[in-house]
Amino acid sequence: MFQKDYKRDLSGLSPSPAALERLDGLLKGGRRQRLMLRHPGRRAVAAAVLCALLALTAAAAGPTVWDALTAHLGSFTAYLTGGGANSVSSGVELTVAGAISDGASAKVYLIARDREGRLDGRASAALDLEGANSWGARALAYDEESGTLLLELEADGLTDGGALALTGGTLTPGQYWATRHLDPAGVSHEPLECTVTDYGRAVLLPGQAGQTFDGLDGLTLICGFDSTGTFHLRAVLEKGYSMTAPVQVFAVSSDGSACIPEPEDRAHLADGQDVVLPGVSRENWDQVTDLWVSLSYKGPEEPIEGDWTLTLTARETAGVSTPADFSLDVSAGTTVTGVSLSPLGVVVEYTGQPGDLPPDAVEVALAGGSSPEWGETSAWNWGGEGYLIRRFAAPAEIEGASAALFGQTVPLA
Amino acid sequence: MDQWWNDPAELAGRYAGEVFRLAYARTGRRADSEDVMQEVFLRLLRARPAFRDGDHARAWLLRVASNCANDWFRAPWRRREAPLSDALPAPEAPRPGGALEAVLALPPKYRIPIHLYYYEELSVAEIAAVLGRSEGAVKTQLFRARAMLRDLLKEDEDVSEGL
Repeated sequence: MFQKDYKRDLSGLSPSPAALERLDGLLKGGRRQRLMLRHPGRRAVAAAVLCALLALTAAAAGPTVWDALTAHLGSFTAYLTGGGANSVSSGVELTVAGAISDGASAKVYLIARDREGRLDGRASAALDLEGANSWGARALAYDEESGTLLLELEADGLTDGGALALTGGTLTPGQYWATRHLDPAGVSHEPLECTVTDYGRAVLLPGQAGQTFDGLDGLTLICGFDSTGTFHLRAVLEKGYSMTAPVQVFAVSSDGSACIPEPEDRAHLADGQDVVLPGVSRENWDQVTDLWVSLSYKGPEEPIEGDWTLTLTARETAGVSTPADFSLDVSAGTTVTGVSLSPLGVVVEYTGQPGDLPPDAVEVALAGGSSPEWGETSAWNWGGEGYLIRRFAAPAEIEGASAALFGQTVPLA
Repeated sequence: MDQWWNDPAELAGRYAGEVFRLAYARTGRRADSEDVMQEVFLRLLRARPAFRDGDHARAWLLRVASNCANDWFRAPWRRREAPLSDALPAPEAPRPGGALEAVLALPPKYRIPIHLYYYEELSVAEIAAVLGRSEGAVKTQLFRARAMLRDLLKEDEDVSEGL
């Protein structure tokens, strides 16, 4: 029976003892830090007000959202369809500006207008989506004067001919997603000050010399070595800010290998996270050629929960595709079942393993034999059924174009 | 402590496993699920809501776990990980042909409602409250997810029985 089977599978899964130990330490440490943070100093309050003023100034200079949409889409604007649906909830009006679809995936553009000014240029939206899988919506532009926000929602796995229904939803202002390159040569070899958590993990103390970044409010990054020579990256968030995903650190060595942290290398703290990189220390730091950090966190703004209802049809951009009975084995266990080419790019549908179909497995030759300029690549695989999508950097004329898989031209009509 | 539901350590002792398993049902990765578990209790420490009773606390934790697991999944470096897959550790595989494997093969939006229904044994109304959705939306998602699970498990009637 399904329920019994599911419960049996899951009952064998529990957090590792190390994770539970970290959690225990977090709870003990958290109590103390909560008491310490209860009365923020005057300087911290002044800094927060200054940050807010700077953020408002930046937002006020933004373009109108329609200008931003056409600037973002460029010549792809011509393929926008299905706009017009409108819904109001919790004081926010959501309007569908349109969608662009290649038949397998779609980008839906939404305009949110809030007369109470609760939104900002960092807001994201999460709505229940029927007819596809949603990756959520991110802000593209914000016009503070009209309180209008332009959002791009990415969806894949379209069913029902592109008919989409968006319902429910939360708009969350103050979302920060960023990847930054850090200069390994700028990391001091002098030991930094540390403290030890209740579960025995050394973490860098906040308040030491760190790096701040334009556009990343409330964040300071401190990089360096503890007294044993172990490398740490400490993300320190101001009060009211919180991490929404683990800090990712990638250190690339001169031999081309990369080092990334495991969960046990990451300490979750009340004001951020501290990450160590296994095997990376002061002794071998000279071999680190590149250092990248990716962060996801949110500001102190309250989310806006609503009950919006929007329907639209993301009409597939016309193109050519392989016959319905097309099938091409590209490796043992992986079979391509369809290829579609449109002015937006090429879509490959397959069954099997994602690793057997790297992005450059599919190539396109335009009329005259020239190659298109490629834009973004998207891939997903749910339960062995997957798609690989390569989008053009600009719409391409596909009259006379051909597509090839691993060098083998596929029939398109 | 009389009101154990307002003691974070007590809540962690009782519900950390449930939070972890909900996160696993969404992410399919032990490492991510442990991170989600940490984040949920960190948010508990920050918010320190005054719960009415244990059920209220459990519902709050499940809701925050659902939100955190969704946030984890949407993080930009998760979205395009196919080209990086060689550099990432392979996730633990669930039992082949089992119910968990089938749930993890569902599109992500269906996994948490199915988990709350079959593992946590919440009613449709309770799932709607936890996820902040209408009961109608939850019913639709459960209906579609069950159809997909039946399809995924069609070769094993013993497992698909009861869907």
